[in-house]
Amino acid sequence: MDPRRRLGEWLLRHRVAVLAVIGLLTAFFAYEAAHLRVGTAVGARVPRDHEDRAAHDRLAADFGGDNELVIMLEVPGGSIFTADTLNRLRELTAGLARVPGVDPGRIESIAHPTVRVVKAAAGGTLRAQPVMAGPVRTAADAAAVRRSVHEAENVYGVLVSRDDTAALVRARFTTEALDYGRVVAAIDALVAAAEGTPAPPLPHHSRERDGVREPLGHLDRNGIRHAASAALGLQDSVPAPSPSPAKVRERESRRPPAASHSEPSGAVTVDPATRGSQAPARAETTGAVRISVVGTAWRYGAVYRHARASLLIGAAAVLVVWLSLFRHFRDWRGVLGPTVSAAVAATWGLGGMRVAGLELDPLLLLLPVVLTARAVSHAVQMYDRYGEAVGDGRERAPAIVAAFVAHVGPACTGIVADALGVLAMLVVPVVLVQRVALAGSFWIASVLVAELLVTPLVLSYLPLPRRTGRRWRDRGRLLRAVEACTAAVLSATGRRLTLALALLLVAAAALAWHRAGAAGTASSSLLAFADAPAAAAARNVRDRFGGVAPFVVLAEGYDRGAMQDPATLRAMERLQRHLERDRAVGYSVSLADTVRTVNTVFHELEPKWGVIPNGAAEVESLLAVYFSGAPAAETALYVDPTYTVAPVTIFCADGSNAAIRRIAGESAAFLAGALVRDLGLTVAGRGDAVVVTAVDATPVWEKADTVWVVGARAGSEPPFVPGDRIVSVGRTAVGTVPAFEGGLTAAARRSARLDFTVVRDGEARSVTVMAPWKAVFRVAGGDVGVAAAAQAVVARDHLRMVAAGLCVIAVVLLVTYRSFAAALCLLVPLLVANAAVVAYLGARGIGLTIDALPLVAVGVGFGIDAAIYIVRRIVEEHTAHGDLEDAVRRALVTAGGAVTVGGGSMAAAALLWAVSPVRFDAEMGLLLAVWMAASAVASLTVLPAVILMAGPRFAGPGSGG
Amino acid sequence: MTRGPFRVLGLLLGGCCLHGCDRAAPPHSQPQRAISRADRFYDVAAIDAEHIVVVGYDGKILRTTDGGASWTRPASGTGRALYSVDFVDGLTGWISGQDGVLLRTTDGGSSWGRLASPTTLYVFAIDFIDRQRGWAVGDRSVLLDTRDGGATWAARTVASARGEASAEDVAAAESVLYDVRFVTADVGWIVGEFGKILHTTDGGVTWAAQQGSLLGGAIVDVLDIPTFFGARFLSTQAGVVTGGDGRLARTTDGGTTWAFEATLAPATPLFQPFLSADGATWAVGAEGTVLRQSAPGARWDRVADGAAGGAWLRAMDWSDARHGWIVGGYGAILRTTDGGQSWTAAGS
Repeated sequence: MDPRRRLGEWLLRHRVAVLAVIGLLTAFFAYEAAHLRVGTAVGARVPRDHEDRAAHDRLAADFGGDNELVIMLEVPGGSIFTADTLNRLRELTAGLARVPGVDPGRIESIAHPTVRVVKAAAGGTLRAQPVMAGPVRTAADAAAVRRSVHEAENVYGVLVSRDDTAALVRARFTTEALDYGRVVAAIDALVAAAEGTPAPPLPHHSRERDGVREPLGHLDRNGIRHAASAALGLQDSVPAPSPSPAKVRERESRRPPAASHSEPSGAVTVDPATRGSQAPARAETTGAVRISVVGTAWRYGAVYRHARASLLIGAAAVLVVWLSLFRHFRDWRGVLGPTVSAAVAATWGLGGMRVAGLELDPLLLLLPVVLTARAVSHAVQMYDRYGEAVGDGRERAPAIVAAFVAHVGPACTGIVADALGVLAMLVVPVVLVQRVALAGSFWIASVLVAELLVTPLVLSYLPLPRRTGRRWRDRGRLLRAVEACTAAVLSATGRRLTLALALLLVAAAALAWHRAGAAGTASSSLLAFADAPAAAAARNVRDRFGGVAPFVVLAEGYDRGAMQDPATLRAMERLQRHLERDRAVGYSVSLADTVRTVNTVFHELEPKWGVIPNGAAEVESLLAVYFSGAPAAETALYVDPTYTVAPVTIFCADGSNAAIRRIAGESAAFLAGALVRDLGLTVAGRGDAVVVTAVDATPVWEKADTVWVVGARAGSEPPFVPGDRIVSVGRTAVGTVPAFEGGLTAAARRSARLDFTVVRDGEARSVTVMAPWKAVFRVAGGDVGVAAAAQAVVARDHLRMVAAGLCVIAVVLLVTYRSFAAALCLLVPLLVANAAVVAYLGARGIGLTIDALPLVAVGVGFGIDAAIYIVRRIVEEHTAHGDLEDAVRRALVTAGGAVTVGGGSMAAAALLWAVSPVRFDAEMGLLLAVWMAASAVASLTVLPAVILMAGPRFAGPGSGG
Repeated sequence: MTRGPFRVLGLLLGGCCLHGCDRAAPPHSQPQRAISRADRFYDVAAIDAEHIVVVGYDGKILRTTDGGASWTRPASGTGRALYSVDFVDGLTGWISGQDGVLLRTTDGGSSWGRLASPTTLYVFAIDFIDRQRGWAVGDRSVLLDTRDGGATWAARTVASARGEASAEDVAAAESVLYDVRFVTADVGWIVGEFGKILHTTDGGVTWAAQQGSLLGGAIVDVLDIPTFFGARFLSTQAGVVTGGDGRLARTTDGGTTWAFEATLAPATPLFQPFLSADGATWAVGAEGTVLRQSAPGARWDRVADGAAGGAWLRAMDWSDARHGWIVGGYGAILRTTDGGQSWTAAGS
């Protein structure tokens, strides 16, 4: 007896027990699914094998994660330097510290104690103090804040726009603790309060003094006031030791405060009052306050803002599928079967994600649509077979068994191939993709349970459908349409034309490949349409500050105190200035800016002193002043407490893939070239060798035993001389300048001790030098940094990933059909569908990003089930009737009809997402609709055309296909 | 018939799977900015209405030959800050900078050559009266002078003739000198830290302090006089100096007496004055400050408000009565073509 039949009958005999077990498991997964967290770790997009992965992790640990929130408070056409606006900013900053997941110590705002300015004080001391130490009560206070901001190059243009109309509040999240729903709600409340006219509502403990709100309890609750008070208290009681020489102390002690100067008033007509400094605080408010919120967290959180719309679209999609199925089967059982199957698979899939410790990324909300489409597709085939068996006059149980016997083979093959194909995405070393591969694979595998166990047993409890249903379908318009298409495709001309069109599509895809790679924008910016508030907010910030998305390079010192080394700080600056030449870069900040600023203040604001001092001791003194009295957590925005590591943050205006790649490439090339320059070398590639063409006078090398070190006096023999051929760095052979730079970079990151093999006068010799630099730079993160790393992987691994998936599917098909021809034939529709997707991405110019990659990955095997069902039917019909063309025609109007219904209904459902207010979902909805439609069309046209033209043996009678 | 296409397909798949496909394109070249918002410009020389040279941080030299419509960046050969630029004609000019950097051009600023420098101190200002005779001053009271167009320089520390033996003057010893101006080969001034105004009538051999005449009113001690950052002289008799706390002092008798003209912008340093041939006095400073006085004794007006935002403005120069230039922080290069009525940012 056919084992498939025995299994089918056994199932029906033990249906209660089987359903009970499945029910229990489903209940378990339902519980888990209900507690599945929606969230994302931006770092999950950083490739595992990325060379700077460690730097990224260190950046996240020491300076906050990639998840950043930026709020811009703007007074269009006015100035933020009014008491009212500054107090709004203060409340906004304080409120932000209370937003769930925000790291209160890593907020940057002129109203936060972490952002300081250095002031020369009477008594000859310099001391750092917050830009805004407390509530701003008068216009004079506001003018003082403005002056402080304008004097600080690490603040002005960075946290306050150059035209004084806007201020930024920048916060970082502790990624793991982030709850997007609460974040969005809290920020909404903050924004509403800050934009409130004429003023945001006062906290219940606040009071009003001199027309200025002073929110007491508001701040006490979150510790901001305590932090500020502590900082101020320290500054008041313990002035920072001044690095100034005695003469400066003498001068300062003798100088009366600026405000106390009194001069004959005769000639004075220029006065601060002309800027409104003496006007009442309330009267100063000019124009309405506008708030713009940007940042990774906000953009991802925006998915929640549109949760209702997404739910409605989801409900409409389900309705579309139901109506399509009902219209096809003319029977509610035909709707219920696939629905139950899809629901069980979805429950297992989502529950399985939580069991595996995964979370549902907001950008993957369409993942269930992709996976549910599989379940629906299989269930439609099953019910179609069941309907046929019933139509043939069988009773319920024999009909179910007959359908099961016909269905189990192709279903198993299709699902296993699909699941393993998705699992093959593990080759992509990106945590996010790997998580999706695991979750998607398990989800698809669970379709096996739903399809082969649940659907037959559910049908066994339902009344027998009307036997007339199939006859109606046999006369339906769908059948006539399928028959007409089939006739057209299967004609001699039709076959050639179909294949020609398929080849044309593949060629178009190849052409679109480059465009798809170069186009596109930073992943998360795809969340908002150009006219959406989020996109407008990003534009506002870009207009005022020149850049939005951060690109972070981490300077990692070999030893403590490396960030106090003037050469390291200058290297930071050089990198900043180099990248700022690119029009895609707005501005940048680093510890070097702070040092320069403090140095300027130390020299009475003379800009010519805004340089990095030549001595490490001077730098140390300046930094000691700036960070005096600040808790260690507050200095961590700029440098770690041991001065070993510091970030250089480049804010980019252009988030396109091309710009991201260019900035990352420029950064890497510059840093690699800088190492060669810092060694004092000029090199050139000659043939297959790297030749030293010039050696600078600096650095000056001294030989200590066998190692060259930087010293004050040159040794007898320099480590390199012009004409040297550098053969290797460490164990890395170098034959070209890029290889030399790459090898040097890798060696420098491992150790300060650098080993070279140099050929001089035909003799190979080892040269060991201690690096003249104290720190190395690595691309570490930020929105753009992560996107750059991820994009490199997308560019490198997309085709590899698709090919790996297709190969795994091919192996499963090979094992099943024991035929190379069968495996390759069945892959044809998949290839065509994948080509259609690539062509679509290129045509739309949306590019392929790391966020789209998981969806693309899960869709690789999309449509393999349809191909398998059609081939299975061809073999059956060929065996029964002996003519291949007739068998193909019959298969297309039977199994093909079900493919049309399943694929068509799911494509229509996916198409509904095109109206989603979340741009990414809309784009992906369209993409999936194209994919599903292309997959179904390819299975119904290209596959039969190939089979008819090739006439493979596996499609022959009795082949077992 | 059946084998060929499948074999090709298989090879394609296998090839892609085994080797992957790295299509990461090299970074595209991108038009780069001549002027960045991170630029800090310290000085400007307006050779004529069309030819301007600007110097600044990170060894940056900018040159325009079309009145600012476009800029080129001649190589300076250094990454150090360039503080001061001076031209004596359309071809010959000098630059001084950080760590004793001295540069010279003889082709109008197209190319610059490094001069041998006797110091590694910061040289904040340079001034030539002709192609041969020039002076430069900087940190720790260093004074450089040359008689051969910069080929050789002599360096020494400036000491004023009055001597500085008192305790308070010890503090002011080796103070920073910020500007030097000569009106003839013999007569010149240096200004700097602690309100120093030093005067020479022998080509810089000896220097006499003149700031004592500023005592009076609230200022009872020479060390209370604010630091002066800039100086300009129309003749051996008339000149102005500007400094901290919004101070501007004027002399009309060759420095015998100096007098403050009131606090023009309290707590806002004024970095450089300029005296126009038409009698107007200008001053630029922190927080985007540009002040103008149509004639000595007239009221001061704040002009160019908002043109540079809150950026500091470090230097000003005019090629004629209509064409003027101001440079400063955050890439600020302002230009006027109407005698200072309106100021606009020069193109990038």
